[in-house]
Amino acid sequence: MMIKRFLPFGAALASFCLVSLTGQYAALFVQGWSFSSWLYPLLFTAALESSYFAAYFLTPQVPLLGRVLELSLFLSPLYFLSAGSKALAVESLLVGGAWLLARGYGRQFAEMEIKSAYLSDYPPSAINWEYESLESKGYGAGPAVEYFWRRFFAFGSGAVVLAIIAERSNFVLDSLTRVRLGVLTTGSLFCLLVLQTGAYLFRLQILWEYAQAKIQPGLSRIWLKSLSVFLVVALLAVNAAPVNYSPFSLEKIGPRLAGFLQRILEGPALKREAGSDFPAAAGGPGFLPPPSEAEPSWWIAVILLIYLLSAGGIVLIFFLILLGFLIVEFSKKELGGLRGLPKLAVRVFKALKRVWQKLTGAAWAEPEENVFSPRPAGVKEEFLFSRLRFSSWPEPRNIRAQFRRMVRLGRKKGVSFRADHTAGEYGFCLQKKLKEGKNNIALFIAGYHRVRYGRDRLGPNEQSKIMALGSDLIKEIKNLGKEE
Amino acid sequence: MALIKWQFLSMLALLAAFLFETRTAYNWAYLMLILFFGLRLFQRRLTEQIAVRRLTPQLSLFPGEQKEVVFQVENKSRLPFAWISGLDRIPTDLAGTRPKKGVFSLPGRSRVEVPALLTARQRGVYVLGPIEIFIGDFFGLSTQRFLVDDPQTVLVYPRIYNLEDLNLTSAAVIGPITAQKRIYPDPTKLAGVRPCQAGDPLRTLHWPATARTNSLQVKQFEHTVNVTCLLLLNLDRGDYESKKHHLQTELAVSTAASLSAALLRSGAALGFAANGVLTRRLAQEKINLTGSGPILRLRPRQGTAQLVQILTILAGIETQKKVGFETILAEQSRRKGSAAFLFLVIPKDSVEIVSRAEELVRNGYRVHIFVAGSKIRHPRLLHRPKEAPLQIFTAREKEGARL
Repeated sequence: MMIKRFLPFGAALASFCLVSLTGQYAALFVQGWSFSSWLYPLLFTAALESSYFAAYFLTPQVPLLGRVLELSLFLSPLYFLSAGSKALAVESLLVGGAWLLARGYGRQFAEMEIKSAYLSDYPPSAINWEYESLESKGYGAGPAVEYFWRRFFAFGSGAVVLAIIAERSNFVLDSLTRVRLGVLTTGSLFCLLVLQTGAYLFRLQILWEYAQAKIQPGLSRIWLKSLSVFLVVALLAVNAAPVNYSPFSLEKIGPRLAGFLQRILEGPALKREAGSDFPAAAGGPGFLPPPSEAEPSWWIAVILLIYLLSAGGIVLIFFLILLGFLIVEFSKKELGGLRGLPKLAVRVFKALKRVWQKLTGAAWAEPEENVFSPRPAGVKEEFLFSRLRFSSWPEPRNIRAQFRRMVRLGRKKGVSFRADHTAGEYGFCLQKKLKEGKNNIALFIAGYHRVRYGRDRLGPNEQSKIMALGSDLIKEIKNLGKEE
Repeated sequence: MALIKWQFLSMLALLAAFLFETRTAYNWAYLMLILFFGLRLFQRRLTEQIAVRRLTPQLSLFPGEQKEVVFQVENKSRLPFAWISGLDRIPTDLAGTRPKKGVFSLPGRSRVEVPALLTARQRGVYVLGPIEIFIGDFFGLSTQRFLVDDPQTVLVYPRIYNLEDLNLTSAAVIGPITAQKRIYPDPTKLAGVRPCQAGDPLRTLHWPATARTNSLQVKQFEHTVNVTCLLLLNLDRGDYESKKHHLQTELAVSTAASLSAALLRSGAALGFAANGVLTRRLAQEKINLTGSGPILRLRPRQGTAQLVQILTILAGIETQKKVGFETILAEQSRRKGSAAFLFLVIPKDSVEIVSRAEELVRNGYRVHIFVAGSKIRHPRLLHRPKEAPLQIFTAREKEGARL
């Protein structure tokens, strides 16, 4: 799906425009701070990195340290570039904002793919995209692109609020600032709409792929071309339309409303009814005597002290337990994630290298990554697996690695793990090919399911049994075709 | 529905613009109104400019044949459509593989052709359509659905076998027969040579034979006449075995089609009569049926046009249980002289039918009975000499005949 490659860029551009616009307004509101021009590239780079990373590499396993490192990559130059602590705080907020906005979009793109995986359980004829619209939401689950609409509305409303505050505060705007604000507002709207349609097209492409629809070649290009015409016309129309003609603006109805409210509030005073007076201040029939102020005895103080100490102790213990639990859990997760950090760095590096090679037109020099990763929807099967010679591979260490090995070997022998295959279905395909290991396949796949999706771990005996089955199967797959 | 929520928010944006009177607020409100009100209404208006039509004319197929049907979607307006998906409803017996929905983007003043592959499997008259069209916008706000009711009839003719594939010899079909009176020699059929006699035209001289024998030799031609045949098909449901109804019916129809093709190819004039009923879907086809009543009847004619007529009837014919085959035979015995040869295609050679056939023979007809079933009740009529006026043949599909 080509569109996914460009969506994070659109998200970065939209985030950049929105945060830059906010920054321009912030420069008006925060005394003694101005929006520096070097902030533009920094904001855009932060947004770009964040959206692409979230769309392609971010998983729940990525440790917090990874995110901190990522963010510090953009915040550290700020420390040297910003003049003063107030500027540093505002600029950090802006950079962080751009980073977070883009992160949200990027994560959503990744989730759209991940959440669509359930579609593989349905036959292609049962998948339809025709009702994937806001109007048809009532027929089923909400459309996946509603997230983008919510953001569109929130950011648009935010921009309106900022514009209203700026105008009501009677700031004197020079022509350059006016142009900047105008360009950034229009740019934000344009980018948000492009992003909106891009996300919708991406969702449709996912559905089309699962539904095995026959797509017109170059549909995305025609779509975006037609869209750009529509957007230019729409934005021109919006900018050319008349403004400030309201018959009930705040200035016109404000004084009337204030007068009306005043009349309500200054209404006739309540008359006191005869005989309903409050009792006399002292000596009257309703007077209650003040409580006696006798000295408390010393043992009450002791009990109170013990109570306070024990309560404080219990709270402290609970707090320490909670803190310890959080630290242990966090460190456990963090440590688990940290182990994958070098691997993540390698993946990022390889991806960047691949992009660079594609951009410069360099020939593909190295074989693809020798790692089995969960298949992202839409990626063709041939790109999933290594091009390395399998004779030189080491023995698989566990059941999942054995299954991956089987898939690689099977592909070489003509039993491909298709995009719509589950492990069980693939096992069934293998079963047809293999002569001796027919029964072993079912047992092995059952074991694989337990390891991959089961809650409990397999016992060592069970694991070694299944691995022995797996080794036999691998051998048999290797020999497939040789006997003939 | 979610769209109403967004329309409500658009109205709020407009209210905010009216209250606070800021250009940004107005722009925002206008954009929201365009998206959640204008675009939807505009697209509804725009879809009236979409024209869908079929490009494939009348379609006739033989079983196993594949053909592509195409419908065209045209955008007559100048504005683009984000995506359109269209699917022609194809009957299961015509769909080769699962039909895939086509998705395309349609810029202004453009057209797209959507093909679909048909695979004929089973004799019949099928109707394609309606075409289902979905039109969506750029933002996923609303989708419109249309049904284009432009049906197209597809005829799948019965399978035509070589007679050998039906276990029949060429003796089963009469074709041109030798005339009793030698009046019209057929110059296309050379019978031999003979010595020249006085009165023989010069153009009939056979020069090679003359040179070889050293005496004048002339060509001797065959004297043939084309005969008029009538094919009678029994589609009385009661005569078919209930367990093998479908198989036997199809075999009978295919036998009738194969015989018709063989007879018409040999130059005979062939008429057709059957006690079946035509499917309603065949109503649009032009069939020159004669007479009225329960029997479908075609006047004897020669040529390909007649074959097409017979095949069209056979494509849409079905069994019935009101009119017995004896009715056709009785009617035929009353119509003396309408044909010289009768070909009866029946599921079983019942005593009544054979006795009726014998009666027809007595009236001067030559009758060949083709039994599209496994049992023969009158084996004495099998394997008779070629000239015998009443013969029975068994029609049975040979193994691999369809390949």
